[in-house]
Amino acid sequence: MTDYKVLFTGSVCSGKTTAIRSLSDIETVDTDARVSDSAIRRKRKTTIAMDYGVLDLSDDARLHLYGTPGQERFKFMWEVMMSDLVHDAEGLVLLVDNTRNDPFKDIRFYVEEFRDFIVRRRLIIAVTHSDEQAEPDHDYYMQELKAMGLFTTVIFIDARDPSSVLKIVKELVGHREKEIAWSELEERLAVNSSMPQVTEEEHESSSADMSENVTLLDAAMNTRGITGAIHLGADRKVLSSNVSSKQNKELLRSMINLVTALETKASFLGHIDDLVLCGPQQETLSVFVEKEQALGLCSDKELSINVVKQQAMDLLQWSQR
Amino acid sequence: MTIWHDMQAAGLIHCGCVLLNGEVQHSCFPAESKKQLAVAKQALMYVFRSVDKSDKDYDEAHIEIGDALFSGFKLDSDRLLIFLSEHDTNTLQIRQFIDDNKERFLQL
Repeated sequence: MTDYKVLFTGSVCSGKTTAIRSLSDIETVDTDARVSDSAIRRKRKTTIAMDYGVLDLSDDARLHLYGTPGQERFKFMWEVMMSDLVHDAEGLVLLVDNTRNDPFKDIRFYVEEFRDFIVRRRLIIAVTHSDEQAEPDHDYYMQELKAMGLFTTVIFIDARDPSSVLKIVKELVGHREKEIAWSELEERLAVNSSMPQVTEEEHESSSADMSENVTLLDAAMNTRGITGAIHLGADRKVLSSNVSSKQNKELLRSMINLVTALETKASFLGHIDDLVLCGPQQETLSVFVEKEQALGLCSDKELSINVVKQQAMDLLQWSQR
Repeated sequence: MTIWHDMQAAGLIHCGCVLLNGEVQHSCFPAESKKQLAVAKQALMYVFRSVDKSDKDYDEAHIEIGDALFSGFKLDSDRLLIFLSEHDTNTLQIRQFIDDNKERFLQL
């Protein structure tokens, strides 16, 4: 028996757990917990440690499926998995959520985080949620990845559809395992499908309900320790805010202007990702400035800045929803 | 072992310096990082000058640019500590180190 391993990673809500459930012949081992951060905008439960499933490819070959948690605050699990559980994996599947404002930012982030791991392994980029957001398309991905110096395979999949996720498996082990009966495998896995059994109209309406229920500000406040948020548009006018302190609100706005001024005055600096201010008794103020939008967050001083950054990154990536 | 070595050995920073009234008083920025020091100094002083107008009690600022994190910590009304570190450095640990070693920094 040949045992293969593959590791699925990607941002929160990119479909890692769903993809593994679609492929697994066994009841998957998952570690779901109630969402306690900005991911509430997209789902109610999230993976906090890992997902695991097994796919019997043939009588002689088996594929072990591992999934990382998406949140960066569970990064220690990425390390544990890379150095132990999947150190001998065939490849890394990076799931990319096409509804994020800048999917390439996620690709850069994960490729950097898993750089050492993918040096000697296959990297497959699997784009998900393209039924909700068709652009960027396959050609655009290939063009951008080439510009980034990444020469890899890009596959568009629907994580809920086993036959679609099987394309990844074919790409990964198909050339080495010639005896796999792919159509039989596809039939067997059909029971794992979690494709909605509703009309397109109903599906669109239920998707809209989900995002309408939780606003960007509500999602920000779902993270313990975040006490206020302000969201500004490209013209730097306030789109929404729940920062109660007038002084903090003004400070956040002036910090956003400061970042813009710094980038203008010292263009050689490059893009400033964030500016954070802390004080002994004060709430921590953080701003994240992009061309099209800016986000300011107030947080308890005990909350790690890295956690605040991760939340801000997800909030900005889903801001259009 | 200097205080800079201690911080580097603990994986907290790449390099750092003390500014006294805006002038470099003590530094471990290598010659090849002169430009980064100039950037950090100007940017952080600019930030503190602007923020002081609203609230003088903010004593710590971090600017993340790509893989680099430029941090500024007010030691007192005249002295500012500046560090260059990895973008994902735990800044709470840097703050703790400064609090535990404030006298050593003031003696530089």
